[in-house]
Amino acid sequence: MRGLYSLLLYLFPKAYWDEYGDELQAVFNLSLDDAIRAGRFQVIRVILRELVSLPKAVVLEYLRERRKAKMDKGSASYFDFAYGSWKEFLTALLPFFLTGGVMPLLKYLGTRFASGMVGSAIVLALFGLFLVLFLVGVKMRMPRWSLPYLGFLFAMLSVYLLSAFFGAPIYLFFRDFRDQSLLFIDILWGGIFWYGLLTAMVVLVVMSRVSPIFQRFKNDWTLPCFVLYGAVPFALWLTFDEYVGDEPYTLLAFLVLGGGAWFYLRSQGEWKRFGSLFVALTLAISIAAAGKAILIPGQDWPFTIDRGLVISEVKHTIIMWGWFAAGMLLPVAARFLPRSDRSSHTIVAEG
Amino acid sequence: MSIDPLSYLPLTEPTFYILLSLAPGRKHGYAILKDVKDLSRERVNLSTSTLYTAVGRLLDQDLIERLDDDDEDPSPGLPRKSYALSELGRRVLEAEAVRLQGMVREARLRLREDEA
Repeated sequence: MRGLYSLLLYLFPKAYWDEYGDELQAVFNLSLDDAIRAGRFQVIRVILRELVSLPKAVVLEYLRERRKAKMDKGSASYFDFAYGSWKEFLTALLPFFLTGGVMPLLKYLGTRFASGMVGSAIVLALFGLFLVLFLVGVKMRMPRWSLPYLGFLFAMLSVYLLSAFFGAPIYLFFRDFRDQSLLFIDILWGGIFWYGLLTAMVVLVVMSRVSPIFQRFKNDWTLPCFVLYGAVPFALWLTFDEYVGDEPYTLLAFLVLGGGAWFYLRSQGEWKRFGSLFVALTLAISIAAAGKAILIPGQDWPFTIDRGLVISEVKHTIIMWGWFAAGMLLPVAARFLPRSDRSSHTIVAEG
Repeated sequence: MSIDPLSYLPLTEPTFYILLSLAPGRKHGYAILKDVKDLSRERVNLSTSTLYTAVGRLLDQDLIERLDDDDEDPSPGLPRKSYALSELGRRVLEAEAVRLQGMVREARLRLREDEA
């Protein structure tokens, strides 16, 4: 009877049999042992009970397996875009075009309707959408389209969370130099928002060299650059905060950023891909710096607006570019480091 | 996000007894089978396959957890996996007990009224 039951268990779906087959057999054997001790009548009862209930259980397990497969397919395959498909492009470009479009919209709402609630709702919806797409990306093991969302999240964490952590020691060490016009102090202060982001880049680059999980980032060293590139929309968002009339520059800068991302996605060679990101980053921040220089004299700010302020704002925008450029060059620098043997073994093992 | 245990109610009798069986601690499949029979005074006598269909559903609903046996020298013939009530499972069981208690209280009151 135990042998027959063992054969009948093959009727269950393969995955179910793999997972629960041994357990079902063990429990059946124990039930049968107990029944044998209780007498013949009990043995017949146990066998009949098992034989009658088994077909229903088999059908239910097949239905459950089908339902599960449908659910998995429904949630995952919707975002399983083919490499280089227009859907992949569109989803990857969304942070650039959507942020670029929302910023002028918010300004419009803020100035024309003074509608704080509507503005907050739009920002929350935007960040919520990015978060959802980021989480979908995580679930799908971070395909290429999801990397800008990771960068955007890194940027937010860097500004709102880690800037205080990195800023405190800099403030303590250099507060006496704060008012002196020293370039290196400006560079240090100018990076406070972005040290967290750079740390994340260092971690990504280091992990890509030591951990098989990050192997993909090593095989294509431009991927961490694309992560960092995803942080630029948030940086541009911050850089034009408090400005009035920045819409043309914002739109142009984001258009350039979107264009850079598009060239990145469609280019084949690694250097071409890196070049498109680096050039677009430089152009977009140059547009922001030029926009500031033009806009500042016309701003209605409650303090003196002079040439020094223009120079200072432009300088800080260039410093911000410097930090982003440094972050983007990290994977390039890592590429010239000696390759470890371990990585080639890992590739073989993964293959 | 917290899941409302009431959304799982009412429980079927076998489900209630399976969860109740796991309330004191983790158990193997066979121990659950015997305990359910005892708890229900032999009214619910599950077959192996029916038990595991229910167990699969409860795992999907996160009401129970499947655990590796940490016993280094398990008794021969015993399954190597055991099951435990999850936090959510415990809350659902408590909610069902409260629901049943309320039903019994109302029934007793009404029956007493009828007698009077």
